[in-house]
Amino acid sequence: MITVGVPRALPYYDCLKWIDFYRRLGANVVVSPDTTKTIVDIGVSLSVDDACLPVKVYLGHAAILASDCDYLFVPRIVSIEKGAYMCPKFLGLPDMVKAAIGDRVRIVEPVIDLSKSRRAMLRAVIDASAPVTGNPAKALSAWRACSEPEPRPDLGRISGGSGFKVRVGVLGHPYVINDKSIGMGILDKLETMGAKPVVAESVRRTGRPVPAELRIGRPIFWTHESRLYEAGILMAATRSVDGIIIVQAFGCGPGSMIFDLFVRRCRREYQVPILVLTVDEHTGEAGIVTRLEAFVDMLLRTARCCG
Amino acid sequence: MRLTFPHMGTLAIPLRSLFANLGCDVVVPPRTSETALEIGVKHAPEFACLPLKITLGNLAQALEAGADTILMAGGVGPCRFGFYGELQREILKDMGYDFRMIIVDPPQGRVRHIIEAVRSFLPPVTPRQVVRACRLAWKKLNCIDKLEALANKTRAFERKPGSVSAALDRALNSIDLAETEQQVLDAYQDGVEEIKQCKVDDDRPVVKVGLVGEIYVVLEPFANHSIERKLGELGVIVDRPLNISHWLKLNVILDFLNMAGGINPGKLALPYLSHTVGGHGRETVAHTVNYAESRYDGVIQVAPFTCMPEIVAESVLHRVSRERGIPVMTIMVDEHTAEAGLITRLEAFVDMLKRRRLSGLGTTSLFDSKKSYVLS
Repeated sequence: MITVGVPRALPYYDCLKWIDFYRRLGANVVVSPDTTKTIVDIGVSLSVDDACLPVKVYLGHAAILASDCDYLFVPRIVSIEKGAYMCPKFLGLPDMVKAAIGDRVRIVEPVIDLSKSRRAMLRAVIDASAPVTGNPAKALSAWRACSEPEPRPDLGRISGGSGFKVRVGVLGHPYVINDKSIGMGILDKLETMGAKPVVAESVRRTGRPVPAELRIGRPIFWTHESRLYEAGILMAATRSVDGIIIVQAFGCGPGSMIFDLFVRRCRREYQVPILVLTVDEHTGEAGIVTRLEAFVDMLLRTARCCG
Repeated sequence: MRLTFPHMGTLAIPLRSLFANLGCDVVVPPRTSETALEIGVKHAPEFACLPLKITLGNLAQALEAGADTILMAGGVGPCRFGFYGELQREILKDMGYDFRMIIVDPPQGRVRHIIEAVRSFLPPVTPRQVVRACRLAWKKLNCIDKLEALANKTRAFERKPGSVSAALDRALNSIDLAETEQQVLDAYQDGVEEIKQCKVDDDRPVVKVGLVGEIYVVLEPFANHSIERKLGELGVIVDRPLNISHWLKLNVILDFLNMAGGINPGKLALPYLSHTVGGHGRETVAHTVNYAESRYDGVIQVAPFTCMPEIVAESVLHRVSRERGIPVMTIMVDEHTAEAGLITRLEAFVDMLKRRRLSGLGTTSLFDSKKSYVLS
């Protein structure tokens, strides 16, 4: 039986359906464990200094999977919707993995580029299935049989959770806030502090359209950042949260632009407190906790004074 | 209406010529300096790339000097450059300026869109005027690119340090002032003569280095701390594949016919980077492969700190270096880059290349065909 390795980092949170796909094709799927200090260290040693922490962590996950699988699943996600791209680092991901550990493992790298047509997905499915089956029809029927991915970890937080006095919007890439090591478990920490975290994904999943006047003049051509911006503006404009925390990776390219536009707009138009947390491999948990506590305390006090 | 645009290397010379001859009142921002950088660093987001910060400073200084309309290029991603205009407009608004911003997107085959965008702010002009202005600007652009390439190849052999750069500056100045195509041509030929006269035929050891990376940082001496001049004065023949005229040919005019010439980035970079990553990331890899095949002594990649396409390129460049046997050095620049540190790294790299050549490890022997690659 062929074993396919899926690193639990970067595109993982956009790729849950693929795990089901490989299982249906009869492959054995290994997913790397939650990020640990060791994984971060391995990743840092394999990547160039200038890469952002999520990329370094990805290489760490890929490296520890390399010896346990026949193929490493490293998709090249160029675009998942018309007119928008992923960060350039997603576009070059398989090449970066090959440059770092290409001599240790074979890589299966389907190109997912739906910027022009959704049919490109069929090509990607057939390419991805090549190591497991030579039969494209079987691959396509397995793909169709795959259910939509189970709710992502952050989605568990949409419902329930009563007794919270304040609600805090958390804007961050899925591979940052869902990763216990990169994101320092910020969502859990907020809950224990008595604040209910609301993530961008849950705002998006409510299906509420973003009114035209809340959009930006020029369409944001990065999928993740566009979603984060729109969810954030919706939270601020509808006053559905008491404060917003932006969690960004040090050196995040698209984030540097879009989060700045977001903060500028909120400062001009909405009276919502914003905390910006930047994380990298040197970030200490204690420092993050102090800042979170200070922010939540401030929100709790405001809530008590102003009703 | 008083029009302005940010600097990028010597781009202001043809741009000023173009718009002045189209009847615009052009305000060229003060030469890029520490002041521009300070303004940019103060107001731009911390992790934005260096070109955004410096050009923001240019624009703020131009608005101070009385400009009221900004011309900026746009883009469709995934490089951050496509969002510069949008973000800079918001930042400048927050800084309290009142202005109009025109963002011209790359045509992607629809040149009509560019023409419409440009016509929206131009005073009425005759087609004759347009043709004349375009031809003059194009001539200036081409002459500048050729002169710079010549200077980069000649500096390593100059008799008096700094003489080539001085001759180049004089020629660029005359081209800037030229008002007819003939004057441009005269200034160009004088420049070529003057640069050639700086050359001395002795057998000093020289090495050939390709300069690749992100286009703004490669072209803007302020951002790269005049890396071409520094390398030249260390005895390096510098080849820079990126220049504006080639970029324009590739992206605006002749893209579909591939008449711009040069290398085929997709093909050369294929074993290392099989997809575009925005900006000039794939070109960086392709040019490095090309330099290895053309037996250059080394490659220097310059890029702004946090530049996404160049980080992807950097990640695969060490593999290119290993497999193709060409030394590569990456220099990431930002507002904290200190000149002394840069000089030390350049000197160490060049020393290494020269020793490598002497010890026979280099791809070419020390003095072969020296004359042929100077002044083609």
